Amino acid sequence: MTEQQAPRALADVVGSAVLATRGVAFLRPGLAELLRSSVGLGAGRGTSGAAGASGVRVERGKGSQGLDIEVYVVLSRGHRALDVTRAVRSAVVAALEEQAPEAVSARVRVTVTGVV
Amino acid sequence: MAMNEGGAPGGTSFEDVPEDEILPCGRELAQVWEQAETGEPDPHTAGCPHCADALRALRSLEDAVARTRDDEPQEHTWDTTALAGRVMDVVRLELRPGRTLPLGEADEDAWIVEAAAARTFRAAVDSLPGVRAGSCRIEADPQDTVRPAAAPPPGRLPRGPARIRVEVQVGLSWNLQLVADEVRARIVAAADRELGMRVAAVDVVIADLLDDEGTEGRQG
Amino acid sequence: MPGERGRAPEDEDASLPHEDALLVVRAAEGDDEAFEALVHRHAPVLLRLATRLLGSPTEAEDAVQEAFVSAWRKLPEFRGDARFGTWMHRIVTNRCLNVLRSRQPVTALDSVPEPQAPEHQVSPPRAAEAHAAVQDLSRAIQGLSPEQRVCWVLRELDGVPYESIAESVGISQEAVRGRVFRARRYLTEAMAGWR
Repeated sequence: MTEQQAPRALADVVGSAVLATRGVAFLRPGLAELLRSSVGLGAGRGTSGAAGASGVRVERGKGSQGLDIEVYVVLSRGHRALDVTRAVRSAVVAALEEQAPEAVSARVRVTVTGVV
Repeated sequence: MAMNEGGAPGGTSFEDVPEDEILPCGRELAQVWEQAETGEPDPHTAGCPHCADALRALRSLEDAVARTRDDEPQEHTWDTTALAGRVMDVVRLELRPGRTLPLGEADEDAWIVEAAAARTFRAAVDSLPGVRAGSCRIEADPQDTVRPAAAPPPGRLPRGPARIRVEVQVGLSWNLQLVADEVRARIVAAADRELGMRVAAVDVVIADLLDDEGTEGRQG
Repeated sequence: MPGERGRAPEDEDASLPHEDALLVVRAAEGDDEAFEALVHRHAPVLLRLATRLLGSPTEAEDAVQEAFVSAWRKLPEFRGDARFGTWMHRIVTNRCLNVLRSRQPVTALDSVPEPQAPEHQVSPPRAAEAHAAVQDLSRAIQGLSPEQRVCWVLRELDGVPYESIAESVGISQEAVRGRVFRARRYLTEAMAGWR
């Protein structure tokens, strides 16, 4: 697994873990860019090296060995949003420990973009 | 969005029909037709064969218009399902999620977009009989913000508890103080049970009073 | 007032204007489900309007679809001083006007065409006569300029008052009256040859 390929492969691991979480209806494709532009604060961090256009972004953390992971999810009605985001975080961490043990100390940010 | 006068090449030539066309009896055609439209009585027109001709032409046009309308499908039979689907496909590519608001405790990294939280709160308000929520804006209360371990991510509000402002339409039978309290209670409960969002304050604005049929009171 | 005349366009498409106002506020704040409800409520009337203006159901669907998308984009600036139905009526009208203009050939048509001599002039059965009149009219409408057509359709088929048409298309009431008169003049001539 090269440095180039790593984020994309990790994004798949993360995406599968998120989708398997109870209360998640689907990942929000492409909304990361939309959210950035909607708050009018510019692009934030650079997008180069980012991976996952389908509601999951994986980046090498700045100046650290950890990963920055962002997940955008649409929830199914009837589930408490905070509980789902916590379950998503646990599922992501567990999946990474199991399938990509080298990706330690990941920071996982979960954003609910809708409820259906 | 104004009509662009003379915007189309050649369009002006259609205006060549004279507006002051005079019938053989001396009446202006435009005036005769306009009187017929407004129903204004005119003793001359009643007995004049030229005016009668002009009116007959107008009536036969109106008959054709009426038949055209009769031939159209009834309004409720227009199938707009596919149309609505195509519209919403585009709309969902251009969503306006609003602010990104914190969920959970100050040291967590969970968020929800304002549009999704507002929809939850509106539904909670709508569950009160005779009450409907309109505008619902949410922001993290800056006064209550606990300094987080790290600065909020770009474009996100500080992780403080939320201040919610909701406008409601209420039925005339409600006591306004009571309904404001009920609305506040429903929102606080929904924030806790359905979202997991900490709430600093809920401002309730009574925007409209409705009569019991759900229509505007002043329309009676 | 004969027939449908004198009715403002919003009267027929917003049975519950208050519900509309609520949905508009929600949609303006990003609630796409509220907007979807507005689309379902207003699409039938707007589709009928666009079909009347353009004559083609396919083009009418496109025009209404684009009008709704444009409304979604402009909704945050919609201040609610007009009803949503009236606002949409205007957007659809102007979009159709642009379609008619782009469709319009550059050739000038400076005289009314020879009245056709349709078969139904020799006292046919009533139903056939009615059908022929509808066909004659729909053919004759194509001879109107885009501006005449829009003003005339809004007035005669949609029953919109002159002042509302003037507001909708952004011209004076007198200009609307002039266009409706010229359209009637042209259509009476084109359909029957009454002198």
